[in-house]
Amino acid sequence: MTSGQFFYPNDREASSAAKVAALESLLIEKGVITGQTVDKVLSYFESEMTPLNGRKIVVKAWTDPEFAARVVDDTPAAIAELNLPEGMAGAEGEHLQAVANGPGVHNLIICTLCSCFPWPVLGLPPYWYKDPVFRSRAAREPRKVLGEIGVDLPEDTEIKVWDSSGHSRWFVIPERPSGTDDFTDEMLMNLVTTESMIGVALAGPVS
Amino acid sequence: MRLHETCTTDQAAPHFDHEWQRRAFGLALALSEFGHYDWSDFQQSLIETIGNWEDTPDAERGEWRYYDHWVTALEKVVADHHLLTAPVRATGDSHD
Repeated sequence: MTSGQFFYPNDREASSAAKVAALESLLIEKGVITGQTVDKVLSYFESEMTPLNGRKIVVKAWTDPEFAARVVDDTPAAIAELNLPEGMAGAEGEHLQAVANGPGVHNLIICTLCSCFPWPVLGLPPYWYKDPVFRSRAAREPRKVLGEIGVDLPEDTEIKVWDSSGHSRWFVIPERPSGTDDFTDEMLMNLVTTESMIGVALAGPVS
Repeated sequence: MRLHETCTTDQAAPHFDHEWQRRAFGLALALSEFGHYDWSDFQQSLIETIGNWEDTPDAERGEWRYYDHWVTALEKVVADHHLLTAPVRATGDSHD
């Protein structure tokens, strides 16, 4: 952290760290959790709830037009067809809603209330995504913000901004890059980033 | 207002800046996964915490620190569900 905007004073930092440590200790002492609980949950989350799930969904949509239609129509049901890890329906995985980019349409996901981010398919968001400046500007002037982060869209491309909430956790099926007709699923998967599934980047580039 | 400069260059930033943030994240998730509260309860608490920060005038509120709000929200949901004040239970059943 070198920027003033994101600078964390040490005392405040220490205070939050101490609060978390104290809370975990008290919960263990009280028998609510054990000393291994948090590590187990984190380990499962970090190994299974990753953008790999989202990449699989996107590549399936790129290679199966009928699935592409279903995943937008009824996202949880379509995802259930894929063999993804248990827990996809748990915290933040409920109410998933896919929106598809296409010719003339670009989707951008934000969350103005808090970060209702669909972790199970996308992993954790980039930290700047949670910043109120990013969220409010993306809602107000999405084309300008997208231009600043390197997503230059044609003038006539419509930009739809979707606000994630407790009821709808949006993610984007980006457009399949051209020149990928003979790509294997694995090669296609490498083109799909977390950023492209939030709409702050395009899939690719094709190298 | 400008986007933070790293928005354009630091897209592969680590998810957590500090280990305590990772613990706070894991603790909130674990308590929900094991049925001590519904995830929506934690989320509502986080929405309220962030809402309070946003309603406070610029001069009076501290800088934006997402995981401070996370910790505050977690402390509140733990208190609301009496996780530290209810009688000790032998099993992990619901505290509702």
